[in-house]
Amino acid sequence: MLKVVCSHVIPDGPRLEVSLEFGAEGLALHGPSGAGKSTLLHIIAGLCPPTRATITLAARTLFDSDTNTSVDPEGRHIGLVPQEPLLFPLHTVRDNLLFGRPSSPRLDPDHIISTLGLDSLLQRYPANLSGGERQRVAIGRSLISEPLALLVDEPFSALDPANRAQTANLLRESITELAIPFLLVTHRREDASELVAQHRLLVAGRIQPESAQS
Amino acid sequence: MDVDAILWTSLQVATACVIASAIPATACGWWLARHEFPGKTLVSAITLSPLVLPPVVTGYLLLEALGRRSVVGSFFAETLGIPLSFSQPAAIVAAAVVSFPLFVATARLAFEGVDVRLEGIARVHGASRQRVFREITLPLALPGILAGSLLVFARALGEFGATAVVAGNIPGETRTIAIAVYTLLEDPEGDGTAALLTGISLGISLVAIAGYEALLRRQRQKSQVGGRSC
Repeated sequence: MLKVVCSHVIPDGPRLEVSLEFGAEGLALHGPSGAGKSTLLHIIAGLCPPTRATITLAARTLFDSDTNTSVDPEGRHIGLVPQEPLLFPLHTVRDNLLFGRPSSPRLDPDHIISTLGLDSLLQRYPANLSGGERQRVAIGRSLISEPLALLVDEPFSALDPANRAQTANLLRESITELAIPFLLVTHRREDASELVAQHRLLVAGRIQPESAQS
Repeated sequence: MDVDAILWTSLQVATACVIASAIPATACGWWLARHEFPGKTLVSAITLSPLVLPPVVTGYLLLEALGRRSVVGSFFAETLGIPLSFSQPAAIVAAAVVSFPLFVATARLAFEGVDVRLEGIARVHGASRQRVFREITLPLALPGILAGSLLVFARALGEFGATAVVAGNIPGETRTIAIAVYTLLEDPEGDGTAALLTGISLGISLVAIAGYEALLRRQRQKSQVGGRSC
């Protein structure tokens, strides 16, 4: 279970006031651009220090502003698939995919690679990939690192319908296999419905009451 | 005047200057690119000061700081046997100090050109700060740092003022191209050699600048990932 209670002032943006709790059943956060969705993911992953927050993952405190606790991003074991894939430009696709592979892997990277249709791209460099291919590599890189929680930001934004269905299946399958808390962020509610049942609407930094969700 | 000896001395001094500056300038450039701290503007200004000070003034300050009468100078000369004035090490130090701001500035630009989000995502995937620097940041910044080293090499080849003050004009030791050309200007029969040395100097500088431009282009291509910062 991943719990977040966060209060953060986004420069030139809304004040983020969020309290969330989600597990392996997953949670989808949707809402308009600029609502603070991506910032929240960066805060949970440790890339953006929040003004005030408490973040715990399976009873382990990752961040607590009251006790000055802050685990480094590399110590959090949280997977993040950013909206923009951010592949390492000098690494081949293969090296990108295996960048965070644990020493004793539970998942078979070859299965992930073939499900994502990346077998023929392994020796290429990110500069020679299409937007959809980059997105699939970023998803594969996160899954292969076998995180203890997975945060995914607009995973289908650059994918065509066929790749979108395959990627959604792989995400569903991997999350089930890893049984980890999963947070999906998207501005389209339809994207979220394919993967998780629980939804929250974030507008201007605040989770909207249940009555506003629909 | 022995042209070969002058060229050899110049190349020795310029190469040693690049080698001696590489690590401190890269570290300094990285620190300034990636850290915010109180007094950063002052540190940056001190780093850049040799660029705006008259080279002769820099030479005078170096002579005061490293001459045989100074604590540092006497330690190096008497204990280590390396005189830091009127010797080749003095010429290397003078060239390194004068060109240090160029090295720092290009290294800083090279590191600033590396998208910090790549470093962040690498850490999220379990990489330590050291691994991120080794595998992501440094390789992406390397063309820019190499470009800086070429610029420093060219600058060191042309260094005159500080070198003349702190290292003098010793044939085979400190008589570099710039100092030799100045000496030849006072010799009525030195025009031919001066023109030859000027041509060689110009050629080396143009090649170095062309290399600098090519490496900078490569740096820009390599580190492009697009998008906005986090």
